[in-house]
Amino acid sequence: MAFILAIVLLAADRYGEMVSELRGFLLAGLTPIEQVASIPKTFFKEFDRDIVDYDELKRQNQILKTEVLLLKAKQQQLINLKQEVARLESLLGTTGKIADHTVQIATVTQFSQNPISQFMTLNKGSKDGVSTQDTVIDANGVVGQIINVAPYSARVMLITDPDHHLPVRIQRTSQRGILKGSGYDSSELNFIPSNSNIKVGDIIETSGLGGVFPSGYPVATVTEVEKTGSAPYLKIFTQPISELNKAHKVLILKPEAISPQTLKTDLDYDLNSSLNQTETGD
Amino acid sequence: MGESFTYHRSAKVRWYFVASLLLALVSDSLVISVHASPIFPPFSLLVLFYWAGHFLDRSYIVTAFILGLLSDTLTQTPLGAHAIIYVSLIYLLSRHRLHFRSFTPWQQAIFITGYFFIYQFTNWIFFDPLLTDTHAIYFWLMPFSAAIFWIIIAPLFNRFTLQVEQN
Repeated sequence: MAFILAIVLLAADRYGEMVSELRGFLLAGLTPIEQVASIPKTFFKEFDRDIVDYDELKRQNQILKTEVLLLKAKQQQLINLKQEVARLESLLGTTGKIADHTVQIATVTQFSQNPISQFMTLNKGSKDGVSTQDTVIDANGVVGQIINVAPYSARVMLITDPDHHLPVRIQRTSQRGILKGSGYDSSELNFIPSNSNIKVGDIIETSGLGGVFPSGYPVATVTEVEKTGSAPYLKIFTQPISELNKAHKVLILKPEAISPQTLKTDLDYDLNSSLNQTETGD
Repeated sequence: MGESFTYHRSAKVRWYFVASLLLALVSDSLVISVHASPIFPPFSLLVLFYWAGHFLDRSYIVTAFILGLLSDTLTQTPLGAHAIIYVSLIYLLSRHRLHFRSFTPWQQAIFITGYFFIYQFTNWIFFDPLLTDTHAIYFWLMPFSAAIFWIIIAPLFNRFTLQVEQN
């Protein structure tokens, strides 16, 4: 009976995604166990942090202050660029909207280096408004996406997981492709034609196609490009930019809910832009 | 008389049973983030083998099923996959557990190596794990590490359960 039930569950999970609630329930049950299991690691980190001497702290503080200054300067540039993009997009008659996201900080409580699946567990769950398909990033780039949610924890499938496919583009040339995880801190960029202009060191960023990941976040760096005979596509090896193994704090990006009023304003704006374009064209 | 004796034993060690499984799940969760994780056996299954092989008044199939589901959640594999493996292995053990129980822990360790080799082989077939050279060695050495853990765990549990029975 248990054997048959297991087969039924396996089929339902594999082909129908019908058991996500059961998985969420089981994940909720495992959350305290995972938290207990993370105590030794947390303790070691805390202990390691506590024994850092005063000079080291002063040095770290200086580095952080410098980083804050640099980031503030970059932020100023970004604000200007954002305004410039909005102005150019309105000139082109497009919507001029950059997808906004709410951001939530979460702590990594569990990380898998298992050869079967690559994932991490976060300490935020459905009670904190986290839902499946939310994007997870760290200070450097994309980490993955939420696949399971329990009330007080969530699972993130990493971009290195073999089952993970991510629509991306090469930052330098805007050539689009699909990034597939290949485990152990590596990934492959697929569907890049063999005559494409791509070189080692190129940055790959999210393209925003598919609507799950927001556009423009750095994902990986090209580490090797192989051209095999008359194959139509290049074999491209990449390495994630985000620190998948080291990340302790990550950000969960959630698309901001659009209120009916905002939607109406946007639609009015689009309609007016289109009308203006038509009039100018006439 | 025998039945009542074995039933009594199992009921007496109920809290040990639950605590040992919880500890095994914590251990499973702990080793998943270790670089050499493929060399560690699933402790929950190892502990369940102990209970199923030594306490004959229960079949432990339902426990195997639940632990399998938890293992699926822990390792992010399709729900039911580990449950099938756990249930099958415990069923296999239950066919000869009277003999198994009469062996010494060293002799039992040989059987454990065999069972965990089946476990690892089915893992390899079901989940197609990505293995680097080092991890491939770890992966196929796991049944032997399970045997080593068994040699430590089985006498320890024997002592605990004996103490409980004597009290």
